[in-house]
Amino acid sequence: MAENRTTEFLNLARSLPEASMPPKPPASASSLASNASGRYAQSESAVNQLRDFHSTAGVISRDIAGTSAMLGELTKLVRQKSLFHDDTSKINDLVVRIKSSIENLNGRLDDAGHQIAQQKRTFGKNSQVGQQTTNLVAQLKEEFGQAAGGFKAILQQRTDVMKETDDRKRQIYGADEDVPVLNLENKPPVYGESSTSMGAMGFPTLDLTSGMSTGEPTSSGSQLPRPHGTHGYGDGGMRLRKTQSDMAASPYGGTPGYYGRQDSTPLTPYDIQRMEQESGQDQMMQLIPDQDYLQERANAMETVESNIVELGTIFNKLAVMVNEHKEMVQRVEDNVDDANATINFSLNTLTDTLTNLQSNRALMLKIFSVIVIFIITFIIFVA
Amino acid sequence: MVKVLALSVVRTGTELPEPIICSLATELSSFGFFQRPSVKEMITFLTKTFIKRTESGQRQSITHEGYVVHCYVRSDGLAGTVTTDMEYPARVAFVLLGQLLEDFTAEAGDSWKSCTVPESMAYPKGEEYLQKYQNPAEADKVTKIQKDLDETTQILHKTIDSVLERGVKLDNLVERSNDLSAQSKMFYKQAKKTNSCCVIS
Repeated sequence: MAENRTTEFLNLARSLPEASMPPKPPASASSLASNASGRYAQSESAVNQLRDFHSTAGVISRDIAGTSAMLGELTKLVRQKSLFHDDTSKINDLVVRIKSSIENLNGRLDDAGHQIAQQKRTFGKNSQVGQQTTNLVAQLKEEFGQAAGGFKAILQQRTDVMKETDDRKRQIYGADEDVPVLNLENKPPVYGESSTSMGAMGFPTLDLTSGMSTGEPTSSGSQLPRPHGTHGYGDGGMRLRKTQSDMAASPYGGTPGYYGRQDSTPLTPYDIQRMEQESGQDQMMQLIPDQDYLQERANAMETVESNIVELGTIFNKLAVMVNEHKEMVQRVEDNVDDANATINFSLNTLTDTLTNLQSNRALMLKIFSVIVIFIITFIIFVA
Repeated sequence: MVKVLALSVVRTGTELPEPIICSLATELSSFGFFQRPSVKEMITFLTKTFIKRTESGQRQSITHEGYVVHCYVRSDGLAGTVTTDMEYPARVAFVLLGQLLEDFTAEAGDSWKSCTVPESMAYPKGEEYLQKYQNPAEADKVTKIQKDLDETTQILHKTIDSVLERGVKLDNLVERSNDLSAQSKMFYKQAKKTNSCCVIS
């Protein structure tokens, strides 16, 4: 397709003035392709365009399917946990391949979308065809968005796991010089520095999903810096946010807060791979097997610590319970003391009673008094 | 059964084609008498291969035919492996390795760097370590602490149960002593009444 366009462009450049501008203002870099596509769309025959578009769409959808398959593989690999570091290289391979295919697809989808937009104008009466092509493009974009979203999620998961273990390891291995600390923070961002010529944001970020919203042109104020050496994404400045998916991996920074990224997509696998390419030394490979051992040690220490804390709480509870008992014991003692006193009193009383009963005097006194009362009563009655 | 089969101290480095085993201690009593030499061969071979494949400053645990080989390559080129069965905790194995290598360096100094004949350096402490670490629960401090803590927690739980029982019994006692006190008061009243003036039977 590129060849076709070139000849067309030359023809047009010689013959026609620009009848109508493309709807979006062109980017300052690589506007060649965008102009070419604009003019190409205007003057080619409708049928040819349609055919080309459909074939492109077919190719794109096939690629999307392939990318989804690779994504599934990557997911499986990332979820696996093993001591061997071979998986890391496989994972990184996959990641790179998926990334490049995603970038590719992105660009092609953009082109296709543009083409459609152009065609719709020429296709005034063939509204059905125009609609069909637009629907097709929208569908492809949706699928692509899903794949990209899944990719991002996997990367995030991977980075989270690695960051976790890295943090834990750094915690444990404070002063140990044997352990190669992940030197991600020390490496300068590769593309961030070279692309400072444009953009409001400081760094390129992988912004796949945000650009997936049905291809509406975004405002030109959100231009991101584009790294040098990128090709094929010349659809005008409006698509810049989407185009940041290519090669625009974030600068080295395993920890997201380090560079204050706009987007929350940490890209440690990319960084790792870049590091390997740059320094020719795979430090990350070494760390992953170690992390198992260190993680185990950390776990053991944590378990011990939590056990000790638990023991402490148990002792505390014990103390509280025994304290409560103290009060109860006090009550029991009081009660028993009372009972003791009462019984002593009653003992005394009863002994008195006994002595009284045993002595005769009281008895005689009572009998005598009874007789006296009887006599008195008798005398009163009779007399 | 948790056991350690072999300990080895290896000299390795990128300038050597094959790592050289400076010292090897084995405990092969679980194998039949005639199997022992071949098992030892296997162990040395595995040790050398795995050490060769391990990066400097890295630890690895590789499972092979029901046994695990834990390898540790120090950054100065000294390495060690522990061959154990599947149940031995990896963490303890690496602790053992670290200690072993340090001990070795302390004893042998730098002489291991020029060692070229396999198993030429005598290191009796290797045997000691091997025997000591046969029972990881006793040799590794962390495991020991963990075990003690577990025991203590158990005992404490039992104590708390007894204390709860004690509480219930104390409650009982309180109630009963209350009753006792009331009863004795009644008794006293009765006694006083009996002793008082109304003596007519």
